[in-house]
Amino acid sequence: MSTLLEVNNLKTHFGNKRRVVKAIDGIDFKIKKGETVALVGESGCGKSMTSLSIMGLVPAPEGRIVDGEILLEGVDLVGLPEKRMYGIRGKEIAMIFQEPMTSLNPVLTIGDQLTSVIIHHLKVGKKEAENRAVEMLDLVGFSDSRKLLKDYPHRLSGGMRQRVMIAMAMSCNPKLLIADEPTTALDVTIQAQVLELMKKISKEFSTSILLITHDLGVVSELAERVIVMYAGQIVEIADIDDLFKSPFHPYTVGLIESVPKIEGEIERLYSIPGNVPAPGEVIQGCKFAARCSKVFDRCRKEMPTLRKMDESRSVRCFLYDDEEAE
Amino acid sequence: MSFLEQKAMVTEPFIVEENHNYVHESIWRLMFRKFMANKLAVIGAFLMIIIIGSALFAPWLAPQDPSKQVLLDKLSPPGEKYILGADILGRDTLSRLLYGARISLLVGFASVAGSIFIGTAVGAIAGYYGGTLDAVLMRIVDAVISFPSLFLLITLVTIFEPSVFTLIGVFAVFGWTGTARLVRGEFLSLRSSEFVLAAKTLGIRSSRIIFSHILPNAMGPIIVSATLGVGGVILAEAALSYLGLGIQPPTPSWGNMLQSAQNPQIMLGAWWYPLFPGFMILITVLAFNFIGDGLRDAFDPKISE
Repeated sequence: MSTLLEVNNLKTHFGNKRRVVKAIDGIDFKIKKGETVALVGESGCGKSMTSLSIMGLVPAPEGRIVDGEILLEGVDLVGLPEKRMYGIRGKEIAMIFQEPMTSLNPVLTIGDQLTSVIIHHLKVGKKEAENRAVEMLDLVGFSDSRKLLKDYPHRLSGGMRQRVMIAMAMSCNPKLLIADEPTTALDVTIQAQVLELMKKISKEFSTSILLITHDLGVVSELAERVIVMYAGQIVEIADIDDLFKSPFHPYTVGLIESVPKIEGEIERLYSIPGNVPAPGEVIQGCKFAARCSKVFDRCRKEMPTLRKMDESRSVRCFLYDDEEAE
Repeated sequence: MSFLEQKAMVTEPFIVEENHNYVHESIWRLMFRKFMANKLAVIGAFLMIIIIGSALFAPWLAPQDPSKQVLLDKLSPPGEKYILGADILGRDTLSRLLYGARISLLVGFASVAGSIFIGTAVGAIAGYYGGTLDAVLMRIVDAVISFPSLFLLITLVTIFEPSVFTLIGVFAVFGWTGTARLVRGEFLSLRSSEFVLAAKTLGIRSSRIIFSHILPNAMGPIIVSATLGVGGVILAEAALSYLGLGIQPPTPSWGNMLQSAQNPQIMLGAWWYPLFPGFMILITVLAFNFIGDGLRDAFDPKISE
C-alpha cells in the first residue's frame, strides 16, 4: 500500500511573542491508502488541532503552523494558497464532527447543503448534483432520500444528522476522511450504526480514515493502527493488536487500564493520577514524567525521542532505550 | 386496552424516528405560527396593513385634492364637508393625512433599507474577519455614534435643500451603527459555530459562508431591528418636520402638519387639527413596535410556542 498522507515534524503553536503555547510539538506519522488510523489521547493533547492543521483551518491569527510539512500524495499542504485549499477541502480531505446536532446549518435544507458541496467540487449541474445527493443519502441508509432533500436539519435525530454529515463528507469521494470524535455525542445503539457505516465506507471506497477519539472501544472496533498522543507529542505508534496486547508506553498502559472491564469485581476504576499539563506549561524532560508510575531520574532531565522499535512500532520512553536496558 | 393498541403505542417512537413524517415545515412557517400567537403583534400587523394600504391608495381614497385651499373654510371643525376638519389654509385634513402617510412611510422604509444595508455589510465584515479590520470598523461606528446626531441632522438639512431624498440619505447615513453592532455580534458568535467549521472543511468559500450560511442565521435580529428602526425614523422625520427642517410644505407629511400646533391659538381653538396627525404618528410607531416585539419573540428559539 502506498502512502496517502505524510506528516513530518509538524508544529502548530498558539499565542504571541510573549507567550507561546505549543499545541502540537513536532509530530510525524503516515497514513497509507485505505487504512484506518486512530489518534487517541486525553482532552487537550492536540488531537483536534492535528486535524485542523491538516485541513489548513488552524484558527488565525492566534494559531499558526510554525514548522513541518503535511504531504498529501507528495503535495505539501502547509503554505498552499487558500485558493487551492478550497479545492482540497471536501474534495480530497473531508471531515465529520463530534456534534451532529450543531454541524448542519439550521436554516438550509439538507438538499441545499449537500448539493452546494457537490456542485462546487464536481462541477456538475443542479439536477445531477441532486441525483448524486440522493445516491449518497441512500448509501448511508436513508429510505426516502429524495424527500429528505427538502427537509431542515431540526427535524432529524442526532444519528440521522451524523449520517447526513457522513453523506456530505463522502459526496465527492475524498481520499481521506477525518472523523473527530464521530460517535461521542451519540447513544450506544446509534454509535454502533455509525461505526458500521464508516467501516463499510472505508472498505467500499477504499478511503483512508483518521479517527480521532478518546474511546478505546471505538478504536478497537475500527482502527488498524493507533497513534497515542500526549501533550502535543506522539508517545506511541502501534498496530491495533500489539497495542492492546502489549502496550509499551506507561501512558498507553494507563489509558488501557482506565477502560472499565466486564470481568471481575473492581472496587475502584483505575485512572491515571494527575492531569494533562496546562497548555503553555514548560516542562523539562519527559512530559509524562509527573504522572508516570515508572519514572526515574533521567526522565526528569532529558526528553526521550520517538524510537522505532520495529517495522510498525515506535515509542517515546527511556524504558525502551538501549542504554537503560543494560 | 386491546393488544393492538398497546402494540401501536410501543412502536410509535420508532415510526417517528425511522420513517420520519415528511412535513416540510420550514423554520419560517414555525415562526409565522409563533408570531400569530402574539395578539399585540397581530394587531400591529393589522394596523400596518391598513396604514400601508391607505397610503398606497391615497389618490382614490382622498375625498379632495390635498393642496386645494379654501380659505373661507379655514380651521373648520370635523363635519360633513371635511370629515376630519380643515387646516389653517382650508385644506382637507383627511386627504392630507392620506398623502402624508405616503411620505412618512417612504422616508421610514427607504432610510431603514439603506441603513440596514450599510450596517449589515459593515457588521458582517467586522464580525467574520475580526482582528484589525474589526477594530477599525468598530471605532468608526463608535465615532459615528458619538456625533450629536440631532444637531448634525439639522445642520445637514440646512446645508442641503431639505427634500424627501436628503432626509432619507441623512437618516440612512446616521442610522446604520446599531445594526452594524448587532450584526457584528451575531457574526462573531456564528463564525465559530460548528456548522461554519463544517462548511469550511467542505471547501466552501468565505463569501459563500458569509452570505448563504451565516447571514440567514442572523436574519432574525436584523429584521427585528429594521422593524423597530422604521418607527424610530418616522418619529425623527416628524420631529424635524415639526421644526420646519424636514418635508417642506405644501407636500404634506405628518410632521409638518403638526407644525401649526406650535400656535397656541390653534392648540386651544382648533385642537382637532393637530390631534389627527399626532394620533397617526402614535398609531404607526406603536404598530411597528408591536410587530418588532412579535418578530423578536418569533425569532427567539428560547421562547417556545
